[in-house]
Amino acid sequence: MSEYVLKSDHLTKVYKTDYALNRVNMSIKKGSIYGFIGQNGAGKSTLIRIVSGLASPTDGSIELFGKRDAQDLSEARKRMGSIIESPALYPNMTAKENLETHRLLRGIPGKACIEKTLTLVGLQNTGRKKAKNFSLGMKQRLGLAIALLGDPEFLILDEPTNGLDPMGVVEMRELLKKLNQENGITILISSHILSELHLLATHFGIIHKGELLEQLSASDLHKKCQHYLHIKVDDAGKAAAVIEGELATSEFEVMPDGTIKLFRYVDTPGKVSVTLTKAGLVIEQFMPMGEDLEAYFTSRIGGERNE
Amino acid sequence: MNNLIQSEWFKLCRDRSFRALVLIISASGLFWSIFQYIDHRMDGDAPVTGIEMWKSALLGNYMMIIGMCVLAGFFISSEYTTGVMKSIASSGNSRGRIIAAKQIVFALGSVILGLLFPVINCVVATLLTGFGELSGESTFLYFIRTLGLLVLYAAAFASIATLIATLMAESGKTIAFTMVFFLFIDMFFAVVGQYISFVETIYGYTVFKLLYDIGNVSLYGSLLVRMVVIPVITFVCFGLLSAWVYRRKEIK
Repeated sequence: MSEYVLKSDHLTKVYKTDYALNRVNMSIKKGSIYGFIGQNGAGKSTLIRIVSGLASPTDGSIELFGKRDAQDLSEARKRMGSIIESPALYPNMTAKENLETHRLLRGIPGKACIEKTLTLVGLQNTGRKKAKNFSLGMKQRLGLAIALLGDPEFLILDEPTNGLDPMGVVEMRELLKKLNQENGITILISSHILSELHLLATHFGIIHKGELLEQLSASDLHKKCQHYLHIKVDDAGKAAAVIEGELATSEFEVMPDGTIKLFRYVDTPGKVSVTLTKAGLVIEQFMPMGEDLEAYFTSRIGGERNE
Repeated sequence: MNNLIQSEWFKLCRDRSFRALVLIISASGLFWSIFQYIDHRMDGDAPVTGIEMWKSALLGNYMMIIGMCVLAGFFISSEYTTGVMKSIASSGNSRGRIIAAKQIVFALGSVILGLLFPVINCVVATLLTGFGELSGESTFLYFIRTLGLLVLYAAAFASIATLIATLMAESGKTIAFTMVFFLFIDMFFAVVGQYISFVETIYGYTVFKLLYDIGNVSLYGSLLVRMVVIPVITFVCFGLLSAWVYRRKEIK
């Protein structure tokens, strides 16, 4: 049994002369929440569309649940649920009727799953209200309910928090966490709200201009984004001894260039500077540093902004 | 495949355009047959019988064609615009089966729309003046034969509309194109046939021409075979063509 739910091998998609995807090697571990980050037109949706079987690659291949052949891939997609770009709803049907259509489409026996899924996303009381009269947030939740129908093992969500109010965003996050932790559902989620992804994802993939720049775990990202005090003094060795002795912490690193990265006291830098000065050290540089996901992403793509 | 047909049927039954068309065609059929009855009575003519109304309604069933074009736009193409086609195509069912199920149910819907006008005409006239008799052929046999042929031709026309709807992938374009196509295809064959003789011959072997022969009282051997075989071939060929197009289509 493959450890990965999804793997892509040199996945390439060319539209005329433009590379929407350029030899993308992506891998999503079973049980993970994979945050897929990229600007508009970076290639996120193209990759999602290929995985979902809506488009075919120009070159390369994908492996879904360990299956590669076209026939097997089609079967493997039965174990998957998705919201691609926007929730796909029949506007003149109620929430129940929308789910019933998809239940029949997927050949899921029994109607019990409809009520269960509607309750899960909080739409059990929508009655005869048609989907076209739903708020954007309700439409997103109904889209999620459709994706969740039949208990999929892999969820693909393209911008699932679009249109949700702050409470809705929190509820969606909690629901996705619950689905991941309690039901073991692997989730691929693309979102522009990077702070939201930061709170949810266990793994990240950064895509830019069709190229997957980096894949890293949340702990790796945490290390890279960790906030610290950047200190440069006239005697790094003595400063290290003072930090260890006076400030009683070993959470620091002396860098080859003689600067010190202190990972404690980030919120109380005054205490550090006073201690070092009292010890007779001359402070040459002293500043808090570190990045959040947004800053890290911006630095990885070279500071480009959406046009 | 069965689940796909069930799903499509569920959607058809809830399709607002289908419901509206059923209502409009039923009302038209009802008013037309009552109007015919009153008109004949006021003119002092013999009242029109059920089988006569049935026969006249079969000649150029434009209600069926217009209804089918509208349904093709709303039932098939709108799924591309609303994005539902994405979730259908990614459901793990093979694309060939998806489009086959869609075509079968759409054909069924077209058959219902195609039958409504003649059936209501026939029923109302029968209630008012009786079913009547046809000279030269068994009336019952004629009724069953024309009913069967109407089903076949509605299905054949539906298969052509399915292909157009799959290619267009947009309701408005599909409705406009199918209407222009079906309503002017005869004119095209007639005009081109004047200059190129084999085009006229080909026209004689198409569902577009044979549709007008459904109501003929006497159908001799080879014409009857042609009347049955050609819509079946059309349905199968256009079904395969739609599947070929849909399999290669990038769904946006």
